[in-house]
Amino acid sequence: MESMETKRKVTQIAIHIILIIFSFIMLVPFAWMTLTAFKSATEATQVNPFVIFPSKWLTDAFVRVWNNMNFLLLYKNTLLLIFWRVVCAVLTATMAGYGFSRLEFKGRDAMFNLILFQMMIPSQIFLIPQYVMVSNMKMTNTIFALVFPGIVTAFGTFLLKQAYMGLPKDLEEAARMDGCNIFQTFLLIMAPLARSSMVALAIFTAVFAYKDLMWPLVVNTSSTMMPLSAALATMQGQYSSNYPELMAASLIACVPMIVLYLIFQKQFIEGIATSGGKL
Amino acid sequence: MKKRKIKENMRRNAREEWQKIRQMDRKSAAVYIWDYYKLWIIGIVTFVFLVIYFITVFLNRPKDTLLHVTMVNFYDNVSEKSDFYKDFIEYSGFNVEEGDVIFDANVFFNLIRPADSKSSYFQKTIAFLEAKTTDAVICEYDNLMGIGAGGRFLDLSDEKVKSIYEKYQDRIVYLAESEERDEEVPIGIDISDSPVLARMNGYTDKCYIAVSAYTERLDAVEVFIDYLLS
Repeated sequence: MESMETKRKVTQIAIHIILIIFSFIMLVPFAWMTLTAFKSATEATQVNPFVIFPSKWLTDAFVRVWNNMNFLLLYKNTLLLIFWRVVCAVLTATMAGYGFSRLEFKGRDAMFNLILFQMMIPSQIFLIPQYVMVSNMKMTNTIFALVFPGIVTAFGTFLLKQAYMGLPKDLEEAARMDGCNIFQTFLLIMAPLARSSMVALAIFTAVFAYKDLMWPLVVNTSSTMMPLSAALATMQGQYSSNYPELMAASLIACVPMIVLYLIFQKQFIEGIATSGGKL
Repeated sequence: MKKRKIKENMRRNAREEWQKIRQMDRKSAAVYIWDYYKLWIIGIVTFVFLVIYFITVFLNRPKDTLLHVTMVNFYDNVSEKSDFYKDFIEYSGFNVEEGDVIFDANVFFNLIRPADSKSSYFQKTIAFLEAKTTDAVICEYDNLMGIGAGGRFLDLSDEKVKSIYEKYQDRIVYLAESEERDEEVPIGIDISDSPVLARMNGYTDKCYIAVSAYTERLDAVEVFIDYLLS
């Protein structure tokens, strides 16, 4: 009995050690970014691997970056991008998911397979046709252009379809008997029950919109219409060797996501658990 | 017959609803409307907002540029505030407003590395060429050949660019023969000795300019090439 207890404790300790090591590996880049932001340019590029902490904590990089880049505008663009992508994705995926799971219509399975097929294709394939479409609409350098590829989401449709399929059909039948039409059944009965999947989709969409680099870089080249990710990428040419400034800008850019995470921590974790995905 | 009945029912319901609201005091009416019609209100407000937004964007849509040049791996300032930009505008004599002439140096890739063909910057360059946004590309040899192999650069022996070809015949670089091409195709002009680029922190290696196969602004491109080699 005692040996069993000892074995259990040893296993627990081993698991914790492994988890601590992996947590440390995950945190190193973030710690490096934070520490480098406070170093001088010379110190940041020093080859000595044992110099981890800055010899003097400097905030010059933050001041310079804040003055050179219009962060308020970048935050505004990023938040608008996230807001509209989340609204559009949740709205379209909720309705499409319900349609595919509960409504009978010709070609339903073929259409759903087409959506699944879209999930298997790399996003780069869509970049050129999507840009050509936005460019022909004369909508480049607008918030609409940033949101455009996220108006509908194959992943979201799939996620919500699975959520609706897990709900009992009796609820719908009861709603129909009480006089609800299809839209009322969907809006008043089924959609509220799929709320946890909608939250998961909203979180996934928000995170992907925040870190999306390729599309904003292509479609919004004007410095006044860029989100944070694209604006940080433009620093490569200007400050290619100035790591403290690059890291300071990255740290400032992380703030909205850290704040969002702290506010919605519970929903973030629930979202990952619900969808079985990773961010 | 059925449609008419539905319409009549809807009208009667609307009348009854309106009578009910009129009998309430202002506060209760507002609470009642919000409770029963909030989704409609939100939907209509969003719809109106989107209509206004699209009209505004449409009215303020960017006009076509006079010239758009992509400068790959070019680490110097080519913005509208730079000497390079001002100097070119003066040389060209173009009457420009903001955004009429664009030099885009925010593009970094090297196709000698296979992974770079998946990079955001390479995808951006291809998208810009396909959408007729870019008129010309300045880049190094490997990138010139890499993009040119996809047929996105104009064959300089084409009648449309006869004057450019004749002027810079001795500087032309060719895309080699391959299974798809029976003969070499002239796609680039060597501008490594450009006095303008030499003054800048540009290319250390040889560089070339190629004309987009889809461009409709060949005159402006020719002026730009003349400027680079003037």
